[in-house]
Order: sequence, then C-alpha cells, then structure tokens
Amino acid sequence: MIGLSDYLVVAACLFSLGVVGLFLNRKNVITILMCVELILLAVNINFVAFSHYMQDLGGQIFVFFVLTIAASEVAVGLAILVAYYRTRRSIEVEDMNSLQG
Amino acid sequence: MANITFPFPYPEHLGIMLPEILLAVLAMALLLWDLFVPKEKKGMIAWAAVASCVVTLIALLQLPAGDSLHTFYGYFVLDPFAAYAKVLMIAATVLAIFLSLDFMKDEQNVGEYYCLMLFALLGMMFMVSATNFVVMYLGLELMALCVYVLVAYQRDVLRSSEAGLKYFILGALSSGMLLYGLSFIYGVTTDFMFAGIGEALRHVEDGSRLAVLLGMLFIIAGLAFKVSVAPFHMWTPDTYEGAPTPVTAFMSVAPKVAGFVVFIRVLADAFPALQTEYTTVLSVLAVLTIGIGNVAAIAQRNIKRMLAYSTIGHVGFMLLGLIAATQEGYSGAMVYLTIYLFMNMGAFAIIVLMRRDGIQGELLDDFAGLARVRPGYALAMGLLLFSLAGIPFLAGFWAKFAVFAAAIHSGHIWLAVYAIVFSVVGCFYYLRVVKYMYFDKERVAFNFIENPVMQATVVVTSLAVVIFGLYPKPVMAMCSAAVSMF
Amino acid sequence: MIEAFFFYVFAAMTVLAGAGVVLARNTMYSVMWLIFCFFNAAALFFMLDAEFLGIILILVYVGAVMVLFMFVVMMLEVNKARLREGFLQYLPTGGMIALMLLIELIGASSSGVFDNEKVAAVGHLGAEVNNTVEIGKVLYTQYLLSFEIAAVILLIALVGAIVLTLRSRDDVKYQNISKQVNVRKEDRMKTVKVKS
Repeated sequence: MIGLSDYLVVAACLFSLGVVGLFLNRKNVITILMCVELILLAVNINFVAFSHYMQDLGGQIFVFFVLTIAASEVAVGLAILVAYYRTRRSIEVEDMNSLQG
Repeated sequence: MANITFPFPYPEHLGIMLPEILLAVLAMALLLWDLFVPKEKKGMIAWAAVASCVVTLIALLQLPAGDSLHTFYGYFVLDPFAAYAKVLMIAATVLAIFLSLDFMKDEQNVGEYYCLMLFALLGMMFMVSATNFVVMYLGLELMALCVYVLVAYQRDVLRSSEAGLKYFILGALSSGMLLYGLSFIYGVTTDFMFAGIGEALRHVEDGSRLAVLLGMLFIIAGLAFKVSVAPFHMWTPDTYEGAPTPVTAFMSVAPKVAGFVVFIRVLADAFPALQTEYTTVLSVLAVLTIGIGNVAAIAQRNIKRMLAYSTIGHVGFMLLGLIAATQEGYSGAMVYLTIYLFMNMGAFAIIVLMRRDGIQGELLDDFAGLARVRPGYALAMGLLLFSLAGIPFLAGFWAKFAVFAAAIHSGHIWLAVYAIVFSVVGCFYYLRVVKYMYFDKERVAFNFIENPVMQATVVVTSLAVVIFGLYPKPVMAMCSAAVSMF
Repeated sequence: MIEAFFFYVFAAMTVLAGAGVVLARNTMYSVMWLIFCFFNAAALFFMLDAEFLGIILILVYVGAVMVLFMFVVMMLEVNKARLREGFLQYLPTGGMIALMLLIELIGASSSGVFDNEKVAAVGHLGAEVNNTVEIGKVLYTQYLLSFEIAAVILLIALVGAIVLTLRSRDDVKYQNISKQVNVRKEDRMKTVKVKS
C-alpha cells in the first residue's frame, strides 16, 4: 500500500533536484527560475499528500495560494528578466557583474 | 448543497481592518486616477499617495488600542504590537515617498511607482497582523513582489534591473525554502495558526522531531533571508547598490520592521516548545551577521554598499532581542527598529540630496569637503552617522543599550560582549565618512538637489535622532507597551 | 495493487522529468521536461483525491505559466553552446549539498507521524464527495481574507509586469480619428497675403 512517506520521498527528490539545478546551471537565469518552480512543485506535493493523509483541506487550500503566487512571481520575474536582457543582451549568470564593491 | 450559508464576517469585526481596506481602495483609486493626470502634473500623485498614508494612519489611530481583536475567523489580529509596527511602516513609507519626489521627475510610470509602494505597505500591514502562516505568506509575497518591481524600476539602467533580478531569484528561492519547511510543520500539526502549531508542538512524539526541526530550520532560513541575516544576506549589498536610492531607503527599513514582527510572532507563538533549539540557531546566525556586517562594511567605497553592510550589522544586533526571547528583548528589538528607521532614512535622504551629474552621490569620496560647502548637511549626516555608530546620548546608543541589556539579563553574556566589540569595530567606517566630510578637500563640484520637502526630511530625522537620544523614555515605554502580550 | 503500480509509474516519471529539467542541454528541452513533470505531478494529485488542484495544475501551470516560459525562451535567443561550461566545476559542491539534503529530507519524510505503518490506512473518498465544492466551502469562508489578498497580488503582478516591459514609443505615428474629424479649416489653412 502506498503511504504518506512515499509521496514525501518523491517531493524530497524533486526539492533536491531543484537545489542541485541551482548550483549546476550557473549560466542561465531561465533554468534557475525553472529550478525554483521544481522546488515549489515539491512543496505542493508535500502539502497535498499531508492534506490527504491527515484528512484536512487546509493543505489543498494552501497549494491553491502557492500556485496563484507562483504564477504571479513568474510573471514579474520574467518581466524583470526581459528588462535586464534589453540592456545587457545576455541572461548568463556570469555576466551579472555590474554590481561589485 | 443549496443551503450553503453565507457567513461573511460581521461588520463590527471588519472595523479593525479599516486601515487596510482604506489603503487598498485608495491605492487602486490612485492607479486609476493616474491615467487621467496629464504628464506635467504627475507630481500631484506623490501627494495623493502621502494623503492615502495619512488617511490610513488616522484610521489606524482611531481604532481601540490596548487589546487583541480578531476578525476573519481569527486570521487577522489587531493588537498593540501590530498597531505599533503599522505606525512605523506608514512613517517609513511616507518618508520614502518624500525621498522619491525628485527622482520621479525624470522617470516614466509615476503613478505605478507610488501605487507599488502603497501596495507594499498593504502587504506589510497584513504580515504584521497575521495570526497564521497563510496570511503571513500572502502578505510577505505581496510586499516582496512590489519591492522586486520597485528595485528594477529604472529598467533602462543596467544596475537597477540586475539588482532586481538578483533580488528576485534569491527571494523566490527563499520563499520556496520557507514553504518547504512550513509543509513539514503542517504535516506534523495539521494547522496553520501560530497558536495552534505552538500548542501541537508541545506534545509531539519523539519520532517526528527530525521533521519538526527541519521544518523550523527552513522557516527560519526563509525569514532570515527577508531581514538579511547572514548567511542569507548575499542579495543585500547588490540590491541596495543597484536599486534607485529612494527604493533602497524604503526597503532598508519598512520590510525589516515587518520581517522582525513576523519573526517575533512565529518564534514566540509557534515555536515556544523549541526554544532551546532556535536559540542555538539564532545565536550562530547573530554571530555571523554581526561579524560579516561590521567587517565587510569597512572595505566598501560605495556609500550605499556600506550602508547595506551596516544594515546587516544592525540586523544582527536586533537578533539579540529575539535570542533573549523575553518581553524586554522583543521590546528592545522594536526600540532598535524605531530608531533605526529614522537614522537610516535620514542618511539616505542626504545621499539622495547629493545628486551629482545625474547620478546620486554614491562614492565615499563624494562626501569629501561637504562641511565647507554645506555645513548643515554635514552636521546632519554627522549626527546620523554618530547615531548609527552608537555614540552615547544619540538615539542609536539607546537602541543598542536596549538589546544588549536584554541579552545580558537573559543570560547571553558572551553574545552581548561579542556584539559590543563589533559595534566598536563598526564605529570605524561611520567615522571615516565624518572624516571625509570635515577634514578632506572637496574634489568635484557639488550639485545639490534643492527640494524643501526633502530638506525637511533631513531636518526631521536628524532632530528625531537627537531628541530620542536625550529623551529615550517615551520610545522605550511605547515599545514595551507594544510587546506586553508576550 | 494497481494503485501502487500507477503511483510508482507517475512518481518515477515525475522525478525523471525533474532530472531532465536540470540536465537538459537546450533550455527549450528543460521547459518541455518541466511540463512533463507537471503532468505527472497532476496525476499524483489525482491519486491523492485532489482533483481540483490536479486540473488547476494543468490548466494554469502548463497552460499559462509554462507557455510564458516558452515565450520568453524563444524571445531571448539563449546561446546554448556556452551554457554548459562550468557544469562539472560545480557538480561536486552542488551534488554534495543536494545529496546531504536528500538524505536528511528522506529521513524526515519517513519518520515519526509520517511513518507508513501509522498513516497508510487512509482510504479514498467516495464519488459522492466533490473536491471542488469542498474547497469552495472553505475558500470563501475561512480563507476569505487570504483569497482577497491573493487577488491584490494578481493585480500587482499585472501592474509590475506592465511597468517593466511596456514601452510607449514616441516615434510611432498613430491615426487619431477624433482629431482628424474635429479639425477645422482654420487649423490647417492660413491665408497669406502675398505682395505682388
């Protein structure tokens, strides 16, 4: 029988993948944003699994809000990215060096 | 299914949300009104935004203060703590709007700029009134999204959009961590209310301890990012440097107030059962933060970067109040935030006024010889910097005194000694600016902004620093009244 | 039994797709892998009786958010040849941190109250329970305040994205119909007396 911890392990794998992606993809900002999405997906799986196994709707409601906010965050984040690209003509992480002490 | 009742909250309960409701309505009205204001009259919008803040403040002050009132099923609370924090945040927003007056003359999208500031204020007001993680998270994100956009507001200036991008990426990551930790806490307690979580964690079985601790660590990390505690401070110097200076002034103060209030509420209400654990974690963070903030500031040549590291150092001192975890400690942190608001806003006001060849006076060298040209500015800046350094009988001294005393009374003596040593180290870089102003020769011609409102801001903040320094009692009394329920 | 089978299929594909996001050479492929990941996660949501969220995940996330990602990837011609430099350089640090994190998280996930023996017995809700109705009942009552704040956040996202990307260009020539219609003779014509 599939239990709560099986779902949590899937989420833990996704979370770690997101974190490893942040370290490995030091080049491309869009991939970093996608890694953040992976982390949020892991969070959502966690909440839905808890919500089901604890028989409490709160977790599902929270996922609803997380989805809303993640969507707004993506909109704002990509807008900032586009504004940055227009002046810098690159979205590579190593080119983000105009601010240094 | 047909007879679903319609249980809207009762109006008398809704009344305690009047400031938030008014602010939301006024900000949206401002957004619409902006469309009909001709280009040459855009300056009016700033005053409309100030008026909105004042209306919100009046609505807040007429509410019954002194006891905790709840609305929306207990999801929103108005207590002295929240009310006091809201007053501080409104004051910070008004000051930040004053500092923006000149900067916004050359920018497009004037209306949206002030609206985003008002909405950020709205998000922070919800944050400090949250009794549970749902409202707290939503308020936090409302504030954060507004600030991301404000940081990147000069979209054609590379530094601004790069600062926005860095802040956004790290901010999104930190809220992911916060949420992941929260999911574990929710899994163990099946609750989002701070009080409910605190109650459930008191009798949690030993097997779940790892999950609870992990959850708490992730939540602390997420919140620590928002108030720029080391090692989650990496975004602070870059963002402060790249953002438009009025926005830097705003984000160095108001979100810190909101972040600390939420931090205190979460620690005191949700995690009292884990006090030994979180004290250890916060002590390590405080040692790191105080050290990095004060040492790294010495190496900076750009005053905005220097003030960013100085902010990190001050945040480390404020953490001492949270580590003490007593009423005295929380009150000390609030005293610190109050005084820090005026000190920092004043210092940034002078930086904004020193605009030079289209760029704000940003390098430390730009301050050379200020005393000869503008003795008034130099005096004000000197007072503010002395206060930031914690020289006795200016406000900053009492701020430090309040948190150090709380740390010593709660038994964290070595931590207090460490903080005192580093606050002496910190004096160096503040006094270096004073030396530049008074003892060095002027290098480039000054080009000041002549704006009476902004000059008044400088006068008010530096007077506040002197007056708080001479009469610290009222501020301290207000703050200890605000935290009386802990 | 069949439930376990489907769980393992969807779980494996979710994680595989997650790995694909991180490892894909081409940013566009990463986006595609992420979409695949969301589909499988939605299937997991269905297995957890969260039908509404499963559908929302596909409609809103795949339908809107991921399309936005694709749009941006196509708009900003990403130089994919240079992207892989430094991959191996950061692999040891990143891999170590992630591995430690993974072990810790799995430890936390399968301990105490989350242990399989303690919670595995929860059955599925019957067909008479409508997930959407249940969510609606609490969303518009208990969580009404949060719902309102979320609405403001969406407004802010809209305003923010427009502020950062909309450019009103002065060199574009528009046709202003009302100006054209309302034009009077005096505006356009000038009678000039020329000395002869």
